Amino acid sequence: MRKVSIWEVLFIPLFFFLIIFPILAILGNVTVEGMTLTFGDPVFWIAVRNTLITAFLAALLGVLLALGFGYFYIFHPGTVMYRIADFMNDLPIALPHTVAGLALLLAFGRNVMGFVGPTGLAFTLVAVILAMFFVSYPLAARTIASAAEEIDKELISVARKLGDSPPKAYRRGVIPLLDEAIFSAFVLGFSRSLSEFAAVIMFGGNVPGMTQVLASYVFTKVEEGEVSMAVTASAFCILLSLLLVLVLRMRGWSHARSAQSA
Amino acid sequence: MTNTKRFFGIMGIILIIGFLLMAGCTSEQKSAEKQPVNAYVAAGLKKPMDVVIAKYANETGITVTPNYGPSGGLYTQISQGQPCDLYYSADYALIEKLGKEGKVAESEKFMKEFVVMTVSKTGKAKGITKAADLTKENIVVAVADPSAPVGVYSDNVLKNLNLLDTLNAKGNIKTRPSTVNQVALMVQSDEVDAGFMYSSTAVLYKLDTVEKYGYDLSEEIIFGDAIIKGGNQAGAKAFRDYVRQNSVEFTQYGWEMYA
Repeated sequence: MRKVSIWEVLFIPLFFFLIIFPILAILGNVTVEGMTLTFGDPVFWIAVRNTLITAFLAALLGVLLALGFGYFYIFHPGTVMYRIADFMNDLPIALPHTVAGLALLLAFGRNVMGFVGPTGLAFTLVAVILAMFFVSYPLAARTIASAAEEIDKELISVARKLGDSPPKAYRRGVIPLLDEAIFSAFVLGFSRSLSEFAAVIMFGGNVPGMTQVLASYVFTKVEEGEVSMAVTASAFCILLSLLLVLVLRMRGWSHARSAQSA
Repeated sequence: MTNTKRFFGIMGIILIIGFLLMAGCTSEQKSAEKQPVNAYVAAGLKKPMDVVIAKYANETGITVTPNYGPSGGLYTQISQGQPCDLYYSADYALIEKLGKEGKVAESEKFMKEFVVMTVSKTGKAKGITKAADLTKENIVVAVADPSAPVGVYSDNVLKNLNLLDTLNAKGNIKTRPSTVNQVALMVQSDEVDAGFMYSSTAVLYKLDTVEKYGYDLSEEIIFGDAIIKGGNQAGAKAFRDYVRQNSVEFTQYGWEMYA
């Protein structure tokens, strides 16, 4: 018999009790009544549509910027810009999210961006994307940066010696190696975006049927005392995240297999 | 190897000491009158309540620990059994609901509140003087989300004035923030033209009130207080009476005493 380490003894019960059990508690409390009420609510489906579109774009924008950060990390780690970015990257995580919402409102509201429309960028789906991006970008940036750290510096210097410019070396030599990290960064960003509501309510508008997303729908239902609807919507959220991770993992597997056979 | 062993040893000792300390705290008996009071207070009451709590601590040496939040959220916490001695709600119906659940030892109606419409700098320039003006083109209105009581009252006003459907159809209600303070912040920072809130909130944020609505439009808005069963009931009662004696702290913000 193999020796069971202290980590296994600690991890297995704690993981199931502290992480899996609460999720199952939500799924276990879904009722037929809650399902008919929620799935019959047209506002719910608009919130689902809004969430899918905005969280997807927010995660995409997050990965794009994170790759930019990775570029600085590899090619210009000595520059002032890199130091500023590295120092400020995690700030949005530390900020209470209503403050984040207020910050975005003051920065992109009509007093600054009034030329865009009657409310500036605020209270639109674009605002929702920006709010989600604001809170999820740090996760994407950290993921990409820690993967970039693993890349063989030799490889980059060879590419550079062969005459590739840094952007070309980055695009052809580095980004393909970051495959797995880009995938993780996207999933993390998407999931974080799904769950964000404080900044989204403050800056995005939270008008049902217009700018409301799933997380703020759930929040509103909890506060209204519509617990059965809140539980159903949350369960839907959980299944949505699971589905997304599953689909992207499967893509990753088939990718890995084809790479192996090649 | 020995390092990890030592690490776990130290962590273990810290854990044990921590548990002992926690156990010590709960079993420690304080004299009955000086026991602290856990008060759950509707967020809108924060400013005057902080003043009263500080005065009370000065005069009696008793600590009142406030937990400010939206009334609905506080209701859920109490209903789920979180330790609370005294509850101030912006909606008396929530106290009646707690009463039905058998959580309330004693309750009373405390103050009357009113819904008002405030305008920002730009709103003023656009000539908004009454709710009917909100249906004009390009007006940006903030109404709190119905998950907050003030959102429900504001919806009532607009419904009874036959304006809500028009406003929704036109899309002039651009934002439904989750608290009354967020509405006030948006009006104050001129991100919206007009916002609906409590008259006390408008005073607190020094906003321009253009219309005040009666209970025929908004429904009664009664702030209530409730002494919750099972905790420091005597302490809660003493503090509640003290708050009543200091009602001027509240009325200066535009609330009216219920009786």
